Amino acid sequence: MEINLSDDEKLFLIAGVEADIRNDGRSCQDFRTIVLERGVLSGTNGSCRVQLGQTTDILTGIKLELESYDSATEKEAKQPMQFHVDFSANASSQFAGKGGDQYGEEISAAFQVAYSRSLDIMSNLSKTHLAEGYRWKINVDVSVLQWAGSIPDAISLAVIGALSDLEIPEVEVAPDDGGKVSIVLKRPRIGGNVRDEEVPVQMWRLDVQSCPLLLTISKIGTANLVDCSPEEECCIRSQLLIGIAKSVSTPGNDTYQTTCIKQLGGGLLEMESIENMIEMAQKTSIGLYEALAKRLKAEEKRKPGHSFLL
Amino acid sequence: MSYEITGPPLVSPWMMLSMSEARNDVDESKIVIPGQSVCDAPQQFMRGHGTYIRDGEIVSSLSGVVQQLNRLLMVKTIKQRYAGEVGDVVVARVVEVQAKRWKCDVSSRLHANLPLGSVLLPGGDFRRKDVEDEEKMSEFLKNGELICAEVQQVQHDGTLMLHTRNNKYGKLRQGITIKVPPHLIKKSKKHFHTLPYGMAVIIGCNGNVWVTPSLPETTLEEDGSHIHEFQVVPQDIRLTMVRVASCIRLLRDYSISIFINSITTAYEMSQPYDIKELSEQETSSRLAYLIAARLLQELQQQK
Repeated sequence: MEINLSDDEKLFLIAGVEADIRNDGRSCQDFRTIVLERGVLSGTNGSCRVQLGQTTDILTGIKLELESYDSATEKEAKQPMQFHVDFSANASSQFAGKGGDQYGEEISAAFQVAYSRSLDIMSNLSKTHLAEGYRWKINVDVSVLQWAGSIPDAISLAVIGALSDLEIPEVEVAPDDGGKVSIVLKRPRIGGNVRDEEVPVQMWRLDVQSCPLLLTISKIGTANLVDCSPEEECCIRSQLLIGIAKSVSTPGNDTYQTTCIKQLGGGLLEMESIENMIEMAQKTSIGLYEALAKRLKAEEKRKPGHSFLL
Repeated sequence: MSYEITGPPLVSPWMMLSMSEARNDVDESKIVIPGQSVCDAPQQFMRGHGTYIRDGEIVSSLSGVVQQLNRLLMVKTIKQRYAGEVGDVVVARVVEVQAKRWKCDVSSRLHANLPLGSVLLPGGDFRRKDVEDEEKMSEFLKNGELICAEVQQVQHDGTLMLHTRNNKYGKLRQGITIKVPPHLIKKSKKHFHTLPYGMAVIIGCNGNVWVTPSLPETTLEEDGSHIHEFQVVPQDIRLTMVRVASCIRLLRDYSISIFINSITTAYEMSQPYDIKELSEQETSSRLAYLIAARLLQELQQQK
């Protein structure tokens, strides 16, 4: 993309990747260190910021919206999440003007596909459906603040982080005149002199342990690798974006299913190497899910308000 | 396989800097920001670069350190784009092939020029460059290729004129480039170093550090053409190269000046760690602190 390397540098890099020594000392399956913090934007219902290797920087915010839809025309329940990816021109000069629009649309479409079956995968997502004709719409807005390779991986982590941070108000649905319903926020009864409006609304959270992860697996030379740096991205032959979702049927016996496969950029792939790449994505996602669950648990204790923007 | 998700770091590199003792001997009153008065007796001094006069007072227009030369006061910035001085060794990337010259990116304000006349071409040192050579320019150096050159001249608008009229300069082949801020490069007599670990580094004054298996040697073939065969770098040499590169990144991240001594110190002290550990927060901050302390100690012993 923006970085250009000479042929000899590329050859050096490719030979290194094939010998499993990358230019920053990682092996092919290693991720750079990931920094994840939640609750960074006070104006949103849930937010998360993810940094990959101190450079790639993603900020995600979620806004809830009460949406009414026509239940007569919509027979099958639609997935409530809407993704929008925006590339800041600060991230890289290639995104200035309309430069990042197409890439942003491509990535948000991939997320839409990967999350299309999320009503079946995520255990309590169907709770966003409130009543006949009413549901919560979850708008996931992603902003890429800094670009240094493997954007989709970082975005998928940030989206899961933000979804786990998302607080959805509990509501009471009461039947109203003319077959309609009225939706009122649910507040616990405290009694005494406290007015109803001063009591905080009850909230619930989504169960994110089986949210799909999107990983880019790139083929450089004969090797497959995850989490490419910008230099490595110049040498990519072809790249697959693979969505993996963990399904927790019985504890300790998790299965992983592929929710989306999409090729990014050009290049041709043999069927055999596609299978290898999917296998690698599954292996990676096991470790990544584990690390993510650990981090989200550690984040719970943190007090809100320690934003990186401060 | 390693996957690690952490929270934001508790200690930032800047905090590290203020914790180390390297800042102790800096005279804080000499550090100014734009709009700050440079001296208290303006009548006795003349204003120099980076200053202007406001209400009879000499005021800084830059953020940096005040320097005094007899009666002349000037402000020198600490962090800035590479300015270039005659004789500097730079590592540059070709961005454009033009008529009779190459444009090179030296991370300066303007692209540098490398005229066709100032390169060493096959067939004798002082051969006149003719039209044929001009047609074959993109065969010698293509877009995106890295070269190592010396600054021959700085023009009045700041454009650098480069030359590679020596066997040690020229095209760079296999290796790793690391971009560091130019102010971290310590100027020294030698910028080409063959390290005792079986590899070499070129510390470009413009902030590009080149880590390579061996220093470039323009050996000309009998028929006068550059023939270069691609050779795979052996695994052990590659590992030391990657380690040196990681050490330079660590020095950069913690604002430790980069010269041969700091690189070898960092390399020796990084031995107990895995290469990929060097980019982790905890290890790197601890290691950087120790390296900074060691270098400071060496500096004091020299005094």
